[in-house]
Amino acid sequence: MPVTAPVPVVERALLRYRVMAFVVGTMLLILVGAMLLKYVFGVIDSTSIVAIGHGWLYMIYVLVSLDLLFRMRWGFGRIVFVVISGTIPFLSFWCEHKVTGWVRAELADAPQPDRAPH
Amino acid sequence: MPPSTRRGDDPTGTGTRRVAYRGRVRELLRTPRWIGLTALGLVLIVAFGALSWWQWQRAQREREVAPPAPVAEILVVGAAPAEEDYGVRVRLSGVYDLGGQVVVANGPSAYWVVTPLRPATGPAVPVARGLVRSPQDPLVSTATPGTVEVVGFAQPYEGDPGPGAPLPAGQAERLTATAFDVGYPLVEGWVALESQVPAADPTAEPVRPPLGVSAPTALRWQNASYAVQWVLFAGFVVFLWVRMLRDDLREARGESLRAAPADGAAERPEVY
Repeated sequence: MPVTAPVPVVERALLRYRVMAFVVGTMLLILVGAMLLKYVFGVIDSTSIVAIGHGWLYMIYVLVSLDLLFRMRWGFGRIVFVVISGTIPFLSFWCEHKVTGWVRAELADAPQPDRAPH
Repeated sequence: MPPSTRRGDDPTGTGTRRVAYRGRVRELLRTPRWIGLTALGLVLIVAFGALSWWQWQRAQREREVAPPAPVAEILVVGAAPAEEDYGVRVRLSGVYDLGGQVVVANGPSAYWVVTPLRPATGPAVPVARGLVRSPQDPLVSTATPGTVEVVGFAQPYEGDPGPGAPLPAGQAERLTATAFDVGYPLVEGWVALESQVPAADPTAEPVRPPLGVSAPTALRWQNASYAVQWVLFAGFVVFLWVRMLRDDLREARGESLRAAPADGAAERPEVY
């Protein structure tokens, strides 16, 4: 599959995506932990703060993901995969690993005439 | 049509190109792929709109509060309120007794001003009138005179911390039965003031009832937040649709998708 954007631009987009995937994945685990504390152990009254935080971070995650996916010109299936995996505990970490692999593979295939340091 | 006419140089040519462009868009939208994608996009927008509406309804429903119950149904003498009554809205009326007031330390530089409200008949009810930053706050020395109608949230007494460091007169470490030294019966529990008639003067920061009401209040923000997010997701669908359509048009026009990095950046600066 062709890479359309310059390589450093793609790598910056990839970095943004990876950071947000890590943040959202971690936030999701915290949310699951908080829900266990609330509904199973009854130690805390409310998980709202974590839920609201995860909600808005997930919005940023989706934006950053779409940005990367469009730069890579990936198809609809991968868009759905990346967007959904941000909502499933642990899957976002694995998805991040997969996406990084795909990008790296395509960057390695792409011609790199002037790969500027960044 | 000249091969590279800039817009403005040749209005007729631009117009022709526009018509041709519209034609290409119409043609593309009639392909099975784009009929499918458009249908999917519309379904998603409707679904996200419905989800947003649902969350907004949930946020609103949490805001509806039950009419306050008479305080005597919830708080009585000699028995702590039932756990399911924590945070129930109650109404009561009476006269504030400043002499029986207790200032309860609620963390560093935060004090609850708790004043017994004595009804015409029946036991008095401690009412947390407000949260102040200093025991010298004017709220401590003034209370609304005369009969006051109060609406607030019923709360149980706090746990007794046991003997601690001596505090100045009129202050207590916890809001407990033993914090009060009054010559009349008090109910077992207290009320966090929500509103009163006549209005309080001076006004104070309200005491947030620690039990029973904090969770629903927070939940409403969570639902309101989700409602906004679903609308934004619907916006993402529109964005995605436009972006994919543009990419497909470029592809159909036979533009090289594998642009050389430098050229690609220069050719389509609006994209990257």
